[in-house]
Amino acid sequence: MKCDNARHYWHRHLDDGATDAELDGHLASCESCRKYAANMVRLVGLFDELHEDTESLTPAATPFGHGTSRRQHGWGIQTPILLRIAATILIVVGAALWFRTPKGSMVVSPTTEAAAPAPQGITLRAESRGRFIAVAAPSDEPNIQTFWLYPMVAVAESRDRS
Amino acid sequence: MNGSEKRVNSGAKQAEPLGSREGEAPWSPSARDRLFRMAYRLLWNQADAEDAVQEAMLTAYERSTQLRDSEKWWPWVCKIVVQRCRLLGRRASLRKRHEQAFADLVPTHDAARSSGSAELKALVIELLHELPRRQREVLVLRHLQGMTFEEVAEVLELAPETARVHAQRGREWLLSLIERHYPQ
Repeated sequence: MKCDNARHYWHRHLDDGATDAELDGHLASCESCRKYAANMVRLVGLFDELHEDTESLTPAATPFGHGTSRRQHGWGIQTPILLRIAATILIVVGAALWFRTPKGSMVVSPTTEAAAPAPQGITLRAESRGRFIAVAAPSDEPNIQTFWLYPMVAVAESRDRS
Repeated sequence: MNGSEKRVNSGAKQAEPLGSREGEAPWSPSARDRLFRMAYRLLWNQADAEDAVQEAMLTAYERSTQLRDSEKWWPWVCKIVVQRCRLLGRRASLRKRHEQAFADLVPTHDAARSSGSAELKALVIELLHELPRRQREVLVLRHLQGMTFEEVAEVLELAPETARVHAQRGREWLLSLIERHYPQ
Protein backbone atom coordinates (compact mmCIF):
# COMPACT_ATOMS: atom_id res chain seq x y z
CA MET A 1 0.00 0.00 0.00
CA LYS A 2 1.26 3.43 -0.93
CA CYS A 3 1.43 6.24 1.57
CA ASP A 4 -1.27 8.25 -0.20
CA ASN A 5 -3.67 5.33 -0.04
CA ALA A 6 -2.77 4.63 3.56
CA ARG A 7 -3.52 8.22 4.53
CA HIS A 8 -6.81 8.14 2.64
CA TYR A 9 -7.81 4.98 4.53
CA TRP A 10 -6.72 6.60 7.76
CA HIS A 11 -9.17 9.42 7.16
CA ARG A 12 -11.87 6.85 6.46
CA HIS A 13 -11.01 5.28 9.77
CA LEU A 14 -11.24 8.63 11.53
CA ASP A 15 -14.61 9.35 9.96
CA ASP A 16 -16.30 5.97 10.07
CA GLY A 17 -14.12 3.74 12.20
CA ALA A 18 -13.33 1.55 9.21
CA THR A 19 -10.49 -0.92 9.75
CA ASP A 20 -8.07 -2.34 7.25
CA ALA A 21 -5.39 -4.96 7.87
CA GLU A 22 -3.30 -3.65 5.03
CA LEU A 23 -3.36 -0.21 6.61
CA ASP A 24 -2.11 -1.65 9.89
CA GLY A 25 0.74 -3.30 8.06
CA HIS A 26 1.68 -0.09 6.32
CA LEU A 27 1.59 1.92 9.52
CA ALA A 28 3.81 -0.63 11.20
CA SER A 29 6.44 -0.21 8.53
CA CYS A 30 6.19 3.50 7.58
CA GLU A 31 7.50 6.03 10.06
CA SER A 32 6.15 9.01 8.10
CA CYS A 33 2.61 7.66 7.99
CA ARG A 34 2.71 6.79 11.67
CA LYS A 35 3.60 10.36 12.48
CA TYR A 36 0.88 11.59 10.11
CA ALA A 37 -1.70 9.33 11.73
CA ALA A 38 -0.68 10.41 15.22
CA ASN A 39 -0.94 14.09 14.30
CA MET A 40 -4.35 13.53 12.76
CA VAL A 41 -5.50 11.86 15.94
CA ARG A 42 -4.26 14.84 17.93
CA LEU A 43 -6.08 17.21 15.59
CA VAL A 44 -9.33 15.31 15.93
CA GLY A 45 -8.79 15.29 19.67
CA LEU A 46 -8.55 19.08 19.60
CA PHE A 47 -11.80 19.18 17.67
CA ASP A 48 -13.37 17.00 20.33
CA GLU A 49 -12.18 19.34 23.05
CA LEU A 50 -13.56 22.35 21.21
CA HIS A 51 -16.83 20.50 20.81
CA GLU A 52 -16.98 19.90 24.55
CA ASP A 53 -16.00 23.49 25.31
CA THR A 54 -18.86 24.89 23.27
CA GLU A 55 -21.49 22.25 23.90
CA SER A 56 -23.13 23.99 26.84
CA LEU A 57 -23.43 27.38 25.20
CA THR A 58 -26.71 29.21 24.98
CA PRO A 59 -27.47 32.65 23.56
CA ALA A 60 -28.46 34.01 26.95
CA ALA A 61 -25.49 32.82 28.95
CA THR A 62 -22.19 32.00 27.37
CA PRO A 63 -19.01 31.56 29.36
CA PHE A 64 -17.15 33.66 26.84
CA GLY A 65 -19.52 36.47 26.09
CA HIS A 66 -18.34 38.91 28.70
CA GLY A 67 -18.23 42.31 27.09
CA THR A 68 -18.18 40.97 23.57
CA SER A 69 -21.78 41.46 22.68
CA ARG A 70 -22.50 44.45 20.49
CA ARG A 71 -25.86 44.82 22.18
CA GLN A 72 -24.22 45.79 25.43
CA HIS A 73 -22.85 48.86 23.74
CA GLY A 74 -26.14 49.88 22.21
CA TRP A 75 -29.09 51.89 23.35
CA GLY A 76 -30.44 49.35 25.75
CA ILE A 77 -27.85 49.03 28.48
CA GLN A 78 -25.09 51.55 28.64
CA THR A 79 -26.79 54.73 27.45
CA PRO A 80 -26.56 57.37 30.23
CA ILE A 81 -29.77 57.89 32.07
CA LEU A 82 -29.64 61.70 31.62
CA LEU A 83 -29.41 61.26 27.87
CA ARG A 84 -32.45 59.00 27.93
CA ILE A 85 -34.41 61.56 29.98
CA ALA A 86 -33.41 64.39 27.66
CA ALA A 87 -34.42 62.40 24.62
CA THR A 88 -37.76 61.55 26.20
CA ILE A 89 -38.44 65.21 27.02
CA LEU A 90 -37.59 66.24 23.50
CA ILE A 91 -39.95 63.66 22.09
CA VAL A 92 -42.78 64.73 24.39
CA VAL A 93 -42.32 68.44 23.68
CA GLY A 94 -42.07 67.78 19.97
CA ALA A 95 -45.23 65.73 20.00
CA ALA A 96 -47.06 68.44 21.97
CA LEU A 97 -46.04 71.11 19.50
CA TRP A 98 -47.02 68.90 16.63
CA PHE A 99 -50.53 68.30 17.85
CA ARG A 100 -51.27 71.71 19.38
CA THR A 101 -50.36 73.78 16.35
CA PRO A 102 -53.59 74.90 14.66
CA LYS A 103 -54.60 73.45 11.41
CA GLY A 104 -55.03 75.69 8.43
CA SER A 105 -52.96 78.72 7.53
CA MET A 106 -52.35 81.93 9.33
CA VAL A 107 -49.87 84.70 9.14
CA VAL A 108 -47.45 85.08 11.99
CA SER A 109 -45.50 88.18 12.66
CA PRO A 110 -41.80 87.51 13.15
CA THR A 111 -41.38 90.30 15.67
CA THR A 112 -43.80 89.47 18.44
CA GLU A 113 -42.78 89.92 22.03
CA ALA A 114 -41.93 86.32 22.63
CA ALA A 115 -39.97 85.83 19.49
CA ALA A 116 -36.23 85.57 19.40
CA PRO A 117 -34.35 88.07 17.26
CA ALA A 118 -35.52 87.55 13.75
CA PRO A 119 -34.60 88.99 10.42
CA GLN A 120 -36.67 92.01 9.68
CA GLY A 121 -39.20 91.62 6.96
CA ILE A 122 -39.56 87.88 7.07
CA THR A 123 -43.11 86.73 7.22
CA LEU A 124 -43.83 83.21 8.31
CA ARG A 125 -46.94 81.26 7.63
CA ALA A 126 -47.86 78.41 9.91
CA GLU A 127 -49.31 75.55 8.02
CA SER A 128 -51.11 72.56 9.39
CA ARG A 129 -49.16 70.21 11.63
CA GLY A 130 -46.73 72.85 12.76
CA ARG A 131 -44.85 73.42 9.56
CA PHE A 132 -43.69 76.92 8.86
CA ILE A 133 -42.73 78.44 5.60
CA ALA A 134 -41.42 81.84 4.64
CA VAL A 135 -43.86 83.73 2.48
CA ALA A 136 -41.84 86.90 2.21
CA ALA A 137 -38.25 87.71 2.82
CA PRO A 138 -36.04 90.74 2.41
CA SER A 139 -33.56 88.81 0.40
CA ASP A 140 -33.65 85.87 -1.94
CA GLU A 141 -32.35 83.47 0.68
CA PRO A 142 -34.05 83.76 4.07
CA ASN A 143 -32.18 82.44 7.04
CA ILE A 144 -33.55 78.93 7.33
CA GLN A 145 -32.17 78.44 10.82
CA THR A 146 -34.35 81.12 12.31
CA PHE A 147 -37.43 79.07 11.44
CA TRP A 148 -36.80 76.89 14.45
CA LEU A 149 -37.46 79.82 16.75
CA TYR A 150 -41.03 80.34 15.65
CA PRO A 151 -43.25 77.40 16.59
CA MET A 152 -43.79 78.70 20.12
CA VAL A 153 -44.82 82.06 18.73
CA ALA A 154 -47.29 80.41 16.43
CA VAL A 155 -48.83 78.51 19.29
CA ALA A 156 -49.07 81.69 21.36
CA GLU A 157 -50.76 83.62 18.61
CA SER A 158 -53.06 80.77 17.91
CA ARG A 159 -54.28 80.85 21.49
CA ASP A 160 -54.82 84.58 21.36
CA ARG A 161 -56.93 84.36 18.27
CA SER A 162 -59.01 81.52 19.58
CA MET B 1 3.48 3.39 17.70
CA ASN B 2 0.79 0.89 17.17
CA GLY B 3 -1.69 2.52 14.87
CA SER B 4 -4.64 0.45 15.94
CA GLU B 5 -4.19 1.44 19.58
CA LYS B 6 -4.31 5.11 18.71
CA ARG B 7 -7.37 4.92 16.59
CA VAL B 8 -10.34 6.99 17.48
CA ASN B 9 -13.77 7.32 16.14
CA SER B 10 -14.43 10.98 16.72
CA GLY B 11 -17.76 12.47 15.85
CA ALA B 12 -19.76 9.30 15.59
CA LYS B 13 -19.78 8.66 19.33
CA GLN B 14 -20.86 12.18 20.18
CA ALA B 15 -22.93 12.94 17.14
CA GLU B 16 -25.77 15.33 17.78
CA PRO B 17 -28.70 14.08 15.71
CA LEU B 18 -29.55 16.43 12.93
CA GLY B 19 -33.25 15.79 12.94
CA SER B 20 -35.47 17.22 15.59
CA ARG B 21 -35.20 15.37 18.83
CA GLU B 22 -38.16 13.52 20.14
CA GLY B 23 -40.48 15.97 21.80
CA GLU B 24 -38.50 18.97 20.62
CA ALA B 25 -40.65 21.51 18.87
CA PRO B 26 -39.13 23.19 15.83
CA TRP B 27 -39.28 26.66 17.38
CA SER B 28 -38.34 25.61 20.88
CA PRO B 29 -35.55 27.23 22.94
CA SER B 30 -33.51 24.04 22.76
CA ALA B 31 -33.62 24.13 18.97
CA ARG B 32 -32.59 27.76 19.09
CA ASP B 33 -29.68 26.88 21.39
CA ARG B 34 -28.48 24.17 19.04
CA LEU B 35 -28.60 26.60 16.15
CA PHE B 36 -26.74 29.15 18.23
CA ARG B 37 -23.98 26.65 18.96
CA MET B 38 -23.70 25.88 15.28
CA ALA B 39 -23.49 29.57 14.40
CA TYR B 40 -20.95 30.18 17.14
CA ARG B 41 -18.75 27.37 15.93
CA LEU B 42 -18.84 28.83 12.46
CA LEU B 43 -18.25 32.44 13.50
CA TRP B 44 -16.56 32.24 16.92
CA ASN B 45 -18.26 35.41 18.01
CA GLN B 46 -21.21 35.56 20.36
CA ALA B 47 -22.89 38.66 18.98
CA ASP B 48 -22.56 37.51 15.39
CA ALA B 49 -23.87 34.08 16.28
CA GLU B 50 -26.88 35.56 18.02
CA ASP B 51 -27.55 37.80 15.04
CA ALA B 52 -27.21 34.91 12.62
CA VAL B 53 -29.65 32.74 14.54
CA GLN B 54 -32.12 35.54 15.05
CA GLU B 55 -32.12 36.48 11.39
CA ALA B 56 -32.27 32.85 10.33
CA MET B 57 -35.22 32.08 12.61
CA LEU B 58 -37.03 35.13 11.29
CA THR B 59 -36.35 34.11 7.72
CA ALA B 60 -37.44 30.56 8.44
CA TYR B 61 -40.65 31.77 10.04
CA GLU B 62 -41.45 34.02 7.10
CA ARG B 63 -40.77 31.24 4.62
CA SER B 64 -42.21 28.41 6.65
CA THR B 65 -45.11 28.04 4.25
CA GLN B 66 -42.64 27.12 1.54
CA LEU B 67 -41.48 24.05 3.47
CA ARG B 68 -43.55 21.18 2.25
CA ASP B 69 -42.03 18.37 4.31
CA SER B 70 -42.04 19.21 8.01
CA GLU B 71 -39.53 16.41 8.62
CA LYS B 72 -37.01 18.52 6.74
CA TRP B 73 -37.44 21.48 9.03
CA TRP B 74 -34.18 21.04 10.90
CA PRO B 75 -31.79 20.66 7.93
CA TRP B 76 -33.68 23.47 6.23
CA VAL B 77 -33.21 25.89 9.09
CA CYS B 78 -29.61 24.73 9.52
CA LYS B 79 -29.05 25.65 5.91
CA ILE B 80 -30.44 29.13 6.53
CA VAL B 81 -28.18 29.58 9.55
CA VAL B 82 -25.13 28.55 7.54
CA GLN B 83 -26.06 31.03 4.83
CA ARG B 84 -26.45 33.79 7.40
CA CYS B 85 -23.10 32.89 8.90
CA ARG B 86 -21.48 33.19 5.50
CA LEU B 87 -22.88 36.68 5.09
CA LEU B 88 -21.81 37.76 8.55
CA GLY B 89 -18.43 36.15 8.13
CA ARG B 90 -17.78 38.10 5.00
CA ARG B 91 -19.07 41.31 6.47
CA ALA B 92 -17.12 41.34 9.68
CA SER B 93 -13.48 41.37 10.49
CA LEU B 94 -13.84 38.12 12.28
CA ARG B 95 -10.31 37.27 13.16
CA LYS B 96 -9.87 40.09 15.60
CA ARG B 97 -13.17 39.42 17.30
CA HIS B 98 -12.92 35.67 17.58
CA GLU B 99 -9.53 36.06 19.20
CA GLN B 100 -11.15 38.23 21.82
CA ALA B 101 -14.01 35.81 22.21
CA PHE B 102 -11.71 32.89 22.73
CA ALA B 103 -9.56 34.85 25.13
CA ASP B 104 -12.67 35.11 27.26
CA LEU B 105 -13.34 31.40 26.89
CA VAL B 106 -9.97 30.09 27.93
CA PRO B 107 -9.99 31.14 31.59
CA THR B 108 -13.25 29.30 32.15
CA HIS B 109 -11.75 25.96 31.26
CA ASP B 110 -9.07 25.12 33.76
CA ALA B 111 -8.74 21.55 32.59
CA ALA B 112 -7.91 22.63 29.07
CA ARG B 113 -5.48 25.22 30.31
CA SER B 114 -3.70 22.81 32.62
CA SER B 115 -3.35 20.27 29.84
CA GLY B 116 -1.61 22.83 27.70
CA SER B 117 -4.06 22.43 24.86
CA ALA B 118 -5.69 25.84 25.17
CA GLU B 119 -3.03 27.44 23.03
CA LEU B 120 -3.46 24.78 20.38
CA LYS B 121 -7.22 25.13 20.44
CA ALA B 122 -6.95 28.88 19.98
CA LEU B 123 -4.61 28.23 17.08
CA VAL B 124 -7.04 25.76 15.53
CA ILE B 125 -9.84 28.33 15.74
CA GLU B 126 -7.66 30.95 14.14
CA LEU B 127 -6.45 28.67 11.40
CA LEU B 128 -9.92 27.42 10.61
CA HIS B 129 -10.51 30.79 9.01
CA GLU B 130 -7.52 30.23 6.75
CA LEU B 131 -9.24 27.26 5.17
CA PRO B 132 -11.42 27.46 2.09
CA ARG B 133 -15.03 28.06 3.05
CA ARG B 134 -16.34 24.62 2.11
CA GLN B 135 -13.62 22.80 3.99
CA ARG B 136 -14.10 24.95 7.06
CA GLU B 137 -17.86 24.44 7.07
CA VAL B 138 -17.54 20.69 6.63
CA LEU B 139 -15.02 20.42 9.45
CA VAL B 140 -17.09 22.54 11.79
CA LEU B 141 -20.34 20.74 11.10
CA ARG B 142 -18.74 17.32 11.21
CA HIS B 143 -16.34 17.61 14.12
CA LEU B 144 -17.66 20.48 16.22
CA GLN B 145 -21.37 20.17 15.57
CA GLY B 146 -21.19 16.39 15.44
CA MET B 147 -23.18 15.80 12.28
CA THR B 148 -22.79 12.79 10.08
CA PHE B 149 -21.47 13.29 6.58
CA GLU B 150 -24.93 12.67 5.17
CA GLU B 151 -26.30 15.46 7.35
CA VAL B 152 -23.43 17.77 6.50
CA ALA B 153 -24.00 17.09 2.82
CA GLU B 154 -27.69 17.91 3.15
CA VAL B 155 -27.08 21.20 4.92
CA LEU B 156 -24.32 22.31 2.57
CA GLU B 157 -26.02 20.89 -0.50
CA LEU B 158 -23.15 18.59 -1.38
CA ALA B 159 -22.80 14.93 -2.16
CA PRO B 160 -21.76 12.97 0.95
CA GLU B 161 -18.61 11.79 -0.77
CA THR B 162 -17.74 15.37 -1.64
CA ALA B 163 -18.16 16.30 2.00
CA ARG B 164 -15.75 13.52 2.96
CA VAL B 165 -13.18 14.80 0.50
CA HIS B 166 -13.55 18.33 1.83
CA ALA B 167 -13.07 17.01 5.36
CA GLN B 168 -9.94 15.10 4.44
CA ARG B 169 -8.39 18.02 2.60
CA GLY B 170 -9.38 20.43 5.32
CA ARG B 171 -7.77 18.30 8.01
CA GLU B 172 -4.61 17.93 5.97
CA TRP B 173 -4.46 21.64 5.27
CA LEU B 174 -5.16 22.49 8.87
CA LEU B 175 -2.49 20.09 10.07
CA SER B 176 0.08 21.60 7.75
CA LEU B 177 -0.81 25.09 8.99
CA ILE B 178 -0.55 23.99 12.60
CA GLU B 179 2.84 22.38 12.02
CA ARG B 180 4.01 25.61 10.42
CA HIS B 181 2.87 27.76 13.34
CA TYR B 182 3.44 25.25 16.12
CA PRO B 183 6.34 22.96 15.21
CA GLN B 184 6.11 20.87 18.39
